[in-house]
Amino acid sequence: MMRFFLISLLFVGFSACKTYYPAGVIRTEISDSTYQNTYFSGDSAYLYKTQVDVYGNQLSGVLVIKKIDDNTHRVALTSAFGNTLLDVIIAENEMKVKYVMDDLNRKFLLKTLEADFRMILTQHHLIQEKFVTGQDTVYKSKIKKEFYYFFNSNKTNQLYQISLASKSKEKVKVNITPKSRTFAENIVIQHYNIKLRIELSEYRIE
Amino acid sequence: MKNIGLLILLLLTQSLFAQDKKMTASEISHFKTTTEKGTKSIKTIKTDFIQYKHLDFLEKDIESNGKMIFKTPSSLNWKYINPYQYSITFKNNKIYINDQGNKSTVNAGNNKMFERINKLIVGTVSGNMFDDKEFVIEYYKNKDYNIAKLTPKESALKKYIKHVYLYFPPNESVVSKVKLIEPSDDYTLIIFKNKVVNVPIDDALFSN
Repeated sequence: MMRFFLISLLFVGFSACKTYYPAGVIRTEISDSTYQNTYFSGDSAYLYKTQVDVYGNQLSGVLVIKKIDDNTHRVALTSAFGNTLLDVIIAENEMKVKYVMDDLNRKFLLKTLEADFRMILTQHHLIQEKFVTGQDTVYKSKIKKEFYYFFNSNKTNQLYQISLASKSKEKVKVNITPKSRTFAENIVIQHYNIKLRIELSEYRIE
Repeated sequence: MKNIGLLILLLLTQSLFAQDKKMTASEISHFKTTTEKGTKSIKTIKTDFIQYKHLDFLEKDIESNGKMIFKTPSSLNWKYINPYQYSITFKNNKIYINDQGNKSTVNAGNNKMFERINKLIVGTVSGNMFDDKEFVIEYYKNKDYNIAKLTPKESALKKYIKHVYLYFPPNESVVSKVKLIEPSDDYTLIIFKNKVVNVPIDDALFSN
């Protein structure tokens, strides 16, 4: 009985330690040392209707993103009514908060939003591994203790999915619908370890 | 040379300020009396609006539009139609929100901040603001508008609003433009168009 218990424990332990990889990928040789995300690299401002679902609460508004230089973006979120909720500058190694509404001024929330914005804004990534599937080329990069997988469609040669994972499991998935090389008309950021989903869709007056 | 530059700058600044002139005491009294008298005859307002959100780093303001209805004493519904559907209704001290089908209610009476916002918005639309104890009010005029500049007194509201400008066309008691300036100097400008007063409005429209 004891022996069975120990074997089960070991099995559970091994399963928990299993390294995460996206399903169906096959490792291949790295030919390029960097991967470039071309979204948000244009000079004009990018506007999105924004829907945030956080632990059952909904918040909607408008997200504005403007590139300042290759490594820096200005990001502002306003409510539907127009008032500014958040206005930050995201640079390579820091986020400068120009304004945050009192009710949103929570360290954890700001850190989470910063990480989410960085996922879609950061343009140059150092590649650690490269994989292929039938339709995609997948690039893996490592930042601190986390891994980013960039899914590039072979058919369109466009980035359409980003996956953030710890060593053992996927934590955040970003689905992107491209409209052009620099503009994604729809972006969905889905968290798996906290109840947070951010949906961005093109802001367009009919 | 430097002095000439300074002189030109001074003249320019003066002419800019000269556009909005402070009202005299008698002008203020006349404006308040006529506006309040006009406001008393208003039972309903129905209008379209265009909203421009200005952020200092954007070349072009963010535009949205919708419809607004108001019924005395204090039922108000803002409905954003384009490019998003979002409606907010102020009625009987409650705030009803319909965010693209997600409905919620806030009891403004239980929340001082919402109560103030409710009062401000209803007052802004109806033009019945002038005896409000929570704002310092200054009066200006230019050739197109009589202008009331509201500055919150309390720090709780100051955190969100630096000034509110209400623009009244001459001889009208309903605002045609509202400009809300935030502490960062970013602002929201709302322009009312196709305004109709005193048409019957069904109470059922003030729900989410």
